[in-house]
Amino acid sequence: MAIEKMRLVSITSDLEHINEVLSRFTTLQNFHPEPASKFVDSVHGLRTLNDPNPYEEALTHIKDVATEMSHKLVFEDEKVDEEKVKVWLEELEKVYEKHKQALMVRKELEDVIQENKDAMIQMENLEGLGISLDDLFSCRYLKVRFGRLPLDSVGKLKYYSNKPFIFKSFNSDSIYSWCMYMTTPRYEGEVDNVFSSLYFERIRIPEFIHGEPGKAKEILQKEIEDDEHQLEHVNDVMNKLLSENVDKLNKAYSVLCKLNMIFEARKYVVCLGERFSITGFVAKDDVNDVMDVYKDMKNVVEIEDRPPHSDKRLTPPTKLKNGWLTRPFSFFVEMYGVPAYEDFDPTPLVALSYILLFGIMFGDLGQGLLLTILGGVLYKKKGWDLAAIAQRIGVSSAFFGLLYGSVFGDETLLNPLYQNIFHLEGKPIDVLDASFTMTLLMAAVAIGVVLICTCIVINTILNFRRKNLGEALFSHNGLAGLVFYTSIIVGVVAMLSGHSVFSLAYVVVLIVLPLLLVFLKEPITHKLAHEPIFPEGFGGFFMENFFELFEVLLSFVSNTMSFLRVGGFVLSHAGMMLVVMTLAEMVGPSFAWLVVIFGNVFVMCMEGLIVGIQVLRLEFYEQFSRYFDGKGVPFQAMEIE
Amino acid sequence: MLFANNALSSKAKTMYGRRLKEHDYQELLRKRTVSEIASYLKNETDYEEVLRDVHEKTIHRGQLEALLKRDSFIRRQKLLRYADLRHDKFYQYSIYLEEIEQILNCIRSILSDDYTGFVSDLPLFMGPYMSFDLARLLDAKSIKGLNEILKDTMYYEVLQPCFKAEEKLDYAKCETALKRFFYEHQKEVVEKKFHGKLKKDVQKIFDTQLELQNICKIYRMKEYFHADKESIRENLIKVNQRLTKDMLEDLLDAKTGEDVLKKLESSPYQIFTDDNDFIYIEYYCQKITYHLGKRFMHFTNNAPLVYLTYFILDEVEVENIVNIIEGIRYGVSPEKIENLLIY
Repeated sequence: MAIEKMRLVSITSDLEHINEVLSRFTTLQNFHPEPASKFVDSVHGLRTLNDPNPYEEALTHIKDVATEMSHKLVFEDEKVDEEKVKVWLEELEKVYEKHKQALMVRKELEDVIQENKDAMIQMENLEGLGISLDDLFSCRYLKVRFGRLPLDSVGKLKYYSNKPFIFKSFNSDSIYSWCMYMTTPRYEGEVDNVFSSLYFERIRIPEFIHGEPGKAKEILQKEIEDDEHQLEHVNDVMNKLLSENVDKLNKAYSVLCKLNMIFEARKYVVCLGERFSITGFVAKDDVNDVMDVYKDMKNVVEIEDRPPHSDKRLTPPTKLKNGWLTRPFSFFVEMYGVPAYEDFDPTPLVALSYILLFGIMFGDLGQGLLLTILGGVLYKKKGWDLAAIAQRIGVSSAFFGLLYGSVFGDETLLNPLYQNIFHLEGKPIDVLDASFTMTLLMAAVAIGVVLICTCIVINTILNFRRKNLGEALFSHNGLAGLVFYTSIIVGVVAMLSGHSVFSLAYVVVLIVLPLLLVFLKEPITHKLAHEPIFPEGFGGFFMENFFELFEVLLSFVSNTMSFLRVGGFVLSHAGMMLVVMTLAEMVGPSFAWLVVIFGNVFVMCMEGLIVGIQVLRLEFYEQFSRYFDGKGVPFQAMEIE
Repeated sequence: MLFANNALSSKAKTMYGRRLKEHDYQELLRKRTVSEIASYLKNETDYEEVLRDVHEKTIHRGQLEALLKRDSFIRRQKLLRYADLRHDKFYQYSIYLEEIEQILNCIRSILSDDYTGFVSDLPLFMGPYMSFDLARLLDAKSIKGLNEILKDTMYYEVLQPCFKAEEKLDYAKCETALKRFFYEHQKEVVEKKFHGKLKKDVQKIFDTQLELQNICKIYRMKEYFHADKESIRENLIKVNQRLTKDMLEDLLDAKTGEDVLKKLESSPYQIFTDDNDFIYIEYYCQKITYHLGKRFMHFTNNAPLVYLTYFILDEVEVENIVNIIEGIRYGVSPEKIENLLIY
């Protein structure tokens, strides 16, 4: 449960072996490589490899081909063979040409089908008029156009009322008026221009249809069916073409990906003369695995394993290492930031406090167990960290549900268990009992005090370790803050229990003095570091720190009070389930089960989410802000597409 | 008021979240026909609803553009359902802008005696929101006719000095008069309705837009009309935002449009243009407004500011799509079209 110990590893070889070394290097998932640019400027004679990537274009092209052919490329573990991939690409180019031709035919067919369908609609519009198409189109002094006109444009036709045309609208949908217009051959061009400027979409009536619209519809229908049949055939041809070449496509893609990746890995390569090296960090336990990858190249590849801080230009990355229980919670920690390599991994503390607080706030035996089961199933199927977290907090929720005596909102179901097995009068904790409310809220604040003190202690230890004495001793999150905060808490607790500890000595030594030290933290720190005490003048220091001290005091109060929400949510959860149960009683026995199921689902979804977020807020705001800055570099192996 | 504030800004931010993203623009740039663009917008973006019933294979370019503009207008009107009624007068500004644009289009058609473009682009669907009968603009064949239509509106008085019978009708004069009126009116509304930082920020957006319009005017009048300092000054609307009086004078003293661009590099707007790759002055100005709008969209929750910035960002998005459509229509390369996009 900590941060993995790192080693700085360099892989060195002759340039003639670069492809083989890089090919194996790209398979390493436990190597955090450092870019070559970090080294070249500091040593004379070092150079990087900046040649343009020759595989990138081919890779992009094959992706485009696959997209055009509606195929989702699958990466396979194919052996890298440049000659083979060249042959595949040539063959695939021919296949692509065939596919493009088929695609063109399909597009033409789709256009024809669409045109015929549009014509069909116009035939339906004309059907009632009882006019023969042959008569209509053989008119010597009339030109007829069928089509669609945007509704907005219909209103604008009146502007052209001086033009010689007749407009007839058959029907309308939300955007278009399906219509026709007639004009004379002499004004044909002019009127066509008018309609075109109003975005008229012409529908051409195919030449092969004749006679009454009813008869024309039959011909059109047959034509549409024939075309659709042909379209199916073209689709079959395209599918066959794809299925025959899908394997080749995937293989070519996979090899190109690897080649591209190997080439991309050159950005980590530093060359000196005819030698090159790659430097990066590897977890101490994985160093042997890296060496094993190059075992059979022992004579040509040297692997140097050094302490992590042996190169001052590099910052060791952070790789969190946690046990089964706490591992999923690193998701929350990484969301905030990764701790620095030398720092403390807060994951275990987050895991324990999150499990505890969620359980208290969302205590229900039934809902907790259901959450655990759902989390488990989802984690198994999808591998989501959040599902694994749900699995763990569900158990805590079930445990506190057992203490509260609540099962899916039923507050009496467990009573026999307490009476017969544990020989208690009733449930151990009755959250709805009015006399318990104050105890509950005090307990919530007490949990908060413990967590805040823990955070201050962690921060103090971390700063001692960093030799940051000013921060460790005089900061509000250091020893001075801890003495001040605990003294106030002890004083308040004593007052509530009828005693008073606030003597003059107590106030001066344990409250005023620490506060004064917090106020003077900066000058004292500067003094310890032999620097000017007030680098920006006393006035600026006084004003800034005076107001900052107010903020510190306020934050102690608000952070402590913030934990009241823990108690608040215990009450809110119980209250909401009480409403569900009351509603179930009101609707009667026939529908009560439905209300109980719906109510439980609703409360689980809504309150579960809110409690989850609230606890996260307590973690990030009330705790992390005291000791964790998340400024570490996350461990990242070379990315594989 | 707080509820209305939150409702409008939440809704606008949700709508902004559904804007076209970089990958959408990259996909659109790969398209080769208007129907492919229509099909992408219909099937892959938030324009699905407005394009649901269109026939993407046959849709006319102009119709597609008109539908996008209509959708943009309707979306903005929908937002106003959540607006605080006490700020009604402020939100009316988007309608004023549309009204002014249509009046100017009409004047341009009267002057050129060519109504084709005006008729086809006239957004009749906006009719119910306007202070005059929009459809009647189709019948305004002369300034007298236009005057008749506008006689009960606030624009009537504004335009009278420009419509003097003895003088030749000057389009630029009409444009300046209407826009000056708009900004003065809007400034008054902002002054009355808002206070403190909100007032300052809202006014900053209006002023920046106006100042950038002034810059565009100076550049265009210098570059294309070789206009003298005084005649340019007549067409500017006074505003104090980032340009000081001296800087403005400096711009007005420039000999050519190119000189204006050079001076703009060292202005607070820092408009840098490349000699080989100059797009058009409005592009650079719009980009500045876009980034200003984007900043407010991210960092404010004040409904009037959010609405104002949503308006700007939405307009830019529609313009981006129109640029892609036009680019494809005229066979411009995707790389060149991409240079015109702002996102």
